Amino acid sequence: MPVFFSDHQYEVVRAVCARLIPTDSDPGATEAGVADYIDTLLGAFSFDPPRIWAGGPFSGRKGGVGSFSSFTPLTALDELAWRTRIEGSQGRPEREFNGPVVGLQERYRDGLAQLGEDFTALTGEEQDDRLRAASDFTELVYGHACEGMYGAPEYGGNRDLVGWRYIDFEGDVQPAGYTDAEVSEP
Amino acid sequence: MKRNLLKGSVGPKDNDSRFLLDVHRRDLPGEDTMVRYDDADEVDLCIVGAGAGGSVLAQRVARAGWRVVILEVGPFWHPDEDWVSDEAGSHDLYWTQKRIIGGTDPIEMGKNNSGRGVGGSMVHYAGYCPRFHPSDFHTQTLDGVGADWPIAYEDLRAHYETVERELPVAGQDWPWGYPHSYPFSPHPISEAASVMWRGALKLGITMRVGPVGIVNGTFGNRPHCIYRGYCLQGCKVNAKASPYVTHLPDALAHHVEIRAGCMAARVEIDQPSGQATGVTYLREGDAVERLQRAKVVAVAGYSIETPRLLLNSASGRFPRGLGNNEDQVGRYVMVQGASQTAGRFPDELRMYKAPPPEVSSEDFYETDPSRGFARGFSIQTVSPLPIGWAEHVLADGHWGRALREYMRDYNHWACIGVLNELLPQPDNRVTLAEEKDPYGLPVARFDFSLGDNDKANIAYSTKVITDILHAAGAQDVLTIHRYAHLVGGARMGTAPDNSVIDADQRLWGVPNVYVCDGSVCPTQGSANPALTIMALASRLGAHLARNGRP
Ligand SMILES: Cc1cc2nc3c(=O)[nH]c(=O)nc-3n(C[C@H](O)[C@H](O)[C@H](O)COP(=O)(O)OP(=O)(O)OC[C@H]3O[C@@H](n4cnc5c(N)ncnc54)[C@H](O)[C@@H]3O)c2cc1C
Ligand code: SF4
Repeated sequence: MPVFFSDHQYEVVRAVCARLIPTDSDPGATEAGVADYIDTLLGAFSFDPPRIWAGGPFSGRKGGVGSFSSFTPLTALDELAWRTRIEGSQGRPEREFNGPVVGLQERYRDGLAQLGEDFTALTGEEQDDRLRAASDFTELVYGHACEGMYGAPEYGGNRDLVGWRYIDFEGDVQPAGYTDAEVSEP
Repeated sequence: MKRNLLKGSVGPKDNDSRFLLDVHRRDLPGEDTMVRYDDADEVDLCIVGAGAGGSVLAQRVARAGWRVVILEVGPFWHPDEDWVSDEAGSHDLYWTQKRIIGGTDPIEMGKNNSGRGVGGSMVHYAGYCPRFHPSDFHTQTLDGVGADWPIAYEDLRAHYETVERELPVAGQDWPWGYPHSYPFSPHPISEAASVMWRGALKLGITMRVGPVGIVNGTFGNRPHCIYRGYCLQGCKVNAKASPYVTHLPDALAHHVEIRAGCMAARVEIDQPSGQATGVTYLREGDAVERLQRAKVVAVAGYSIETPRLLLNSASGRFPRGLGNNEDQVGRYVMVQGASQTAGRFPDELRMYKAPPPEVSSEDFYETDPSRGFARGFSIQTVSPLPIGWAEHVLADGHWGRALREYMRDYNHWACIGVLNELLPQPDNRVTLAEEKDPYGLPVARFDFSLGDNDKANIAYSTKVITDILHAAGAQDVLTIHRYAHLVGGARMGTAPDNSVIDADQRLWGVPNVYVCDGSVCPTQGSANPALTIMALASRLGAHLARNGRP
């Protein structure tokens, strides 16, 4: 169940991400749950603490006690900055210190509307044409999609580490790390 | 003497930071126990900014008995909890407040060039620690471009050596500039760096391992690097040098208070005498203006924030901003060209298994008239993690199946970059914008345009690194153009009409205000700036301490 998107919007975001990182012999954005990453980012403030910063120090994947999944509470200024970034300034004076800000939520709503209700029914090539026509929005989603595919799974994407597995990246290896010999031996 | 026998045993005198660190926790020792001053206490020195310059200065004068307050707008870090070994989660290390950019080549501001918080930008810097060359201090005389500094390499040499022991810097013997050795032996290098090195060798280009401010061996309570490659996300091991581990522990043990979450708004000037009386600041989440009284003030907010603070400190004596009666504040800000080229190789290289900085070359550092431009560039290997690599590929315009193939091949790619010395220009400058930040202070506007010499330098250097990749046997090559680092904006010089501060880094016309950060540099060389910023701060600290407490 998406926390921010409607079911239809969620399907469109999935389709967009699949154009960026298609599934082939390896899992792609769909299997990695990249749309969930974006949904979690846009809906970060429906969680407590907000799902902005994963906790530390270790993920537990290479030793240590796993603590990425307990999110860090935000300071007041961080919360103001992140709410402004995600929700926009919405005419509230305390959020307009840099002038009015269009939040990510609104940019996604508008961008998805621009791609069209029928987006998921189009062929891949037709989808690419629409994406090229909405280039600002496409660039925004693609930045987020790369984070969702190749970032730590605690943020909602990179499910089962498929993003790292197919590029054969070991991810965070703290606290074990690598020895001198491992550094020099690929 | 066999240098590497000394692994772990060399260390500076008069700086115990490495022993004060806790082996089990990464918090800054002293955060809870440091001295606390009252605003009304007239301290000896109030420093704005707990970064590379501010921290070293504080540590030096504190050792001479000075009572010091550092105002730092960002937080104290608790690295065990705050720094995640995760590329997506490290954004709060960067200066994210708004800055306006302009000029014909506007520079994107953010993670690439400025940090915020105790420790400053070095908390997430890459770790390269080269020195400037002697020629950097006289480019106008030698090459007819840039500017001459009012000081020479010799004035900094002893400070370079001390700071290299404090960080400590590891690397091979250095043949370029003023040849020197490093206190720690070079780190092992990854296959990715070896491939680049072999390519360079074929072209007759010399490369060396290092120099990096990363522990090789152990150093007091700081452990060996574990080569996990997350240096730009903040080193959670304490292997990488930053003021957080190299100078602030000792400073806090010697009468220094760091007041985090405090934004300096203005340096206050007593109008009759023209002397500074302290710094007005605002605490996070609180609109009350407070004044920290001080006998001496040092501004160390880096190249954008230092000019901004001086400009925001206008008063009757200085109607256009503090120290700005000659319209010099904010001018001559420089960035370095930092193009990166990646190459695809048949064998697996795994560039992430190492710190991002590994091997470098300064063969092209000095002017060579046959190249058709003045000054030069350095070459350094870099190793982006997967999101960084995806951004590199996207920046080159690939997506869909192409992006996927580039990503699938991640372990076959290696990356090499340049640092171009771009020349100082008066109109590449920081001014105040109309817009205000959450504290109600006008934000900075930064205009930047490349000159013809800069463009020629960037084009030439990009070809050299591409040639290295081809010589190394790369099957495919991908280049992106970008910029890194900042210096200048409050430069030192010989007179008020050509600079903001004198050779002792004192503001022209104000006897007790100093500038102590990257903004003081009149030129930038092709070297990463942090070591030089620290060496300059060390020199200023020695100068102030020599005259006793104010
Ligand atoms: C991603 C990245 C990689 C880098 N890699 C390298 C490298 O490999 N080698 C190298 O030599 N350099 C590198 N650098 C550059 C290097 O980190 C900086 O040049 C250096 O830290 C600058 O030192 P500074 O003292 O001038 O400022 P900083 O270290 O930035 O410190 C300034 C401090 O002042 C604070 N501040 C500013 N204004 C105010 C105010 N009004 N009130 C209160 N506090 C304020 C800021 O929050 C900050 O903490 C890198 C930088 C970045 C961002
Ligand atoms: S590679 Fe070494 S220096 Fe860099 S973050 Fe890891 S342990 Fe620290």
